[in-house]
Amino acid sequence: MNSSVVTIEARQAAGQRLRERVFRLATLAAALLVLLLLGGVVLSLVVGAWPALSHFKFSFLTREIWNPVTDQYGALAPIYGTLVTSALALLLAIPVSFGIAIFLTELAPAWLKRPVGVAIELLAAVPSIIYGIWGLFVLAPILQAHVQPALIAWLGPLPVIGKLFQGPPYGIGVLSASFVLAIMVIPFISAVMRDVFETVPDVLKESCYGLGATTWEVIWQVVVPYARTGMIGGVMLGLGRALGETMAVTFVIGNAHRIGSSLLAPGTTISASIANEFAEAVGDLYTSSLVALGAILFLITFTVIAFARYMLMRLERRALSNV
Amino acid sequence: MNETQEPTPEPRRTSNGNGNGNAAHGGNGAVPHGLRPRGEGGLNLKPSGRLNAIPTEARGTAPVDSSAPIENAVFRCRDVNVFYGAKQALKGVSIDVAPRQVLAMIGPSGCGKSTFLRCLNRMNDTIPGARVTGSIVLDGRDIYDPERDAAQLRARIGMVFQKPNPFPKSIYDNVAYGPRIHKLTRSRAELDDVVCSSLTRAGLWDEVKDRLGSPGTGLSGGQQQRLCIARTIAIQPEVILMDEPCSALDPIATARIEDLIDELREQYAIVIVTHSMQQAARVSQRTAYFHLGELIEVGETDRVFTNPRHRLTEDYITGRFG
Repeated sequence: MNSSVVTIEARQAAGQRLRERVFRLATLAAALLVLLLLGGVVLSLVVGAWPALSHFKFSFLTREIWNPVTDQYGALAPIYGTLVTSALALLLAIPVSFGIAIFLTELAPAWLKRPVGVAIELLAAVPSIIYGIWGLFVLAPILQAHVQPALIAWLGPLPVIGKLFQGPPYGIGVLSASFVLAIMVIPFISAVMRDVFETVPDVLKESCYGLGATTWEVIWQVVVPYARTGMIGGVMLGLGRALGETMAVTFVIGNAHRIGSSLLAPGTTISASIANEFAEAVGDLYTSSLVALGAILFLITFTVIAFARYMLMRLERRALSNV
Repeated sequence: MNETQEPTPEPRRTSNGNGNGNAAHGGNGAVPHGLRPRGEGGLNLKPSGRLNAIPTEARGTAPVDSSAPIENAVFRCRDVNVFYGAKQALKGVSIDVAPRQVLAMIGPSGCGKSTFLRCLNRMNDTIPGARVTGSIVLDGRDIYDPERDAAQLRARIGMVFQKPNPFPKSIYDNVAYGPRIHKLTRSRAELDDVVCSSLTRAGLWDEVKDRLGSPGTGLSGGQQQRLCIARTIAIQPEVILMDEPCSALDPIATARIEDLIDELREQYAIVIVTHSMQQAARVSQRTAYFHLGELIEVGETDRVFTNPRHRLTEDYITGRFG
């Protein structure tokens, strides 16, 4: 009798151990799958890009030429387009997002907070193709008719930066793509910034208010320093999205494989080139060159994220050593 | 004197004292007060907010005040109501704050004492949905006058919080912060003087004089709270508000802060919210008892603790609830 109880308990224990083992292995497999997928992506990119990279060697990165007829390919124009549109988009989006986030957390009356907050979230949910169509049919004509002529007239004659605002106002081009990208990343950056600002402890803000500080002083001397790390995170999230954005950019950038000195000129980005040309790419070298572009984009994005992580780590360490 | 027995339209005027204005400093415990609202439906605290809406049998909730009005009061508060959204947190509070005196506010949690304290420097402005009605007069003008700047006001009214909350800056910069934003000093030497004298008056100078550059957050809890007090007096306020300044501190640090409060009283009006009745008895000259958003009783501390006039006050200080 006693011994049978013991066996039942032992059997139950064994069953439990087995279940735990299976569960642990299952979660391990799920985690490994991610690594496996990432490895697979990298491997297929490298294999696919190899013919082009081995053929053009380093010059693939430094040449602007992109000629399917003569089978000559260089990635400089799309790389330039990707970096410039993303940088410009951030330049436009960061101040606006910062303003939105500060307004929503510190200044807005309670009844306005929710509608604006929801509107921002909805803006983030709009599919990128919609932004593309809107950019092409609504924004680009407006830019062409009103904004770009003014830019050419005012900024064109200036030394140094004047070069960036010369040439005919096409409507579509690098600048238009940057505008659309900026509008697309604003919801992301401002949503993250708002969440970060909301984590600033009230006691810290109140101690500053209690000394007679103005809202301006509280924002710049308490809220922003406290939230700095998170703000950078938000900006990097926006940058990641801007770098990889395909559809909307393809619509408005003009898709020209060249580096115009003017921001008003058409250009291209890595993802726009791939999306545009993959269907009609004939020949191994052409296809391989497009895959190589993809590999470069992967590398750029990876670098940006790694750099962001590094910055955050440094900031965190400094914050810790301060305490 | 019998005001509280008559259903006059404005029975909350606090002039039910001796009426000759000599009650200036803390009043006197001998003020006759006809009504002793014990056992007379005193617990019937309807959230009606306005006294003239309270039926006769509930008039035991009328405030008992033996010391007001105070002639040279720093703050004169009349019929102050605070709403958080639809919820009324403070109901028709009228009280004066005397100069060079500690006014302690006691009462069970949620009774509105902190809410009232935060009215005095418009800190409730920073809470969305908060609304304040009534009048709080500081040198002849209502502090909620839309033309009055909240930041300028707060520069004259220092505040010390429940949890020590130094800025994540050096000890020096913590104290120098207020003088810097208000441009109170013209030179670095002058600023050094202000920092030194503020820290000295806060009783912290000897402990930190060799490490002014190290972060204020690295100090012990009690030191941090004294740093916060130094930070507050560096802007030379006229009033110091303290919101349970010792609740996060050990007994020794608490004793030091209480000594400090006693010294600061010579120069400032101090309003302190505390959960500790012993602390209120030790540091204050006047005590106000709040219950469910209403000011139940205010008077000389000794009198309130030895001879409370209101049933609720007595129940609280004898530990029957709270």
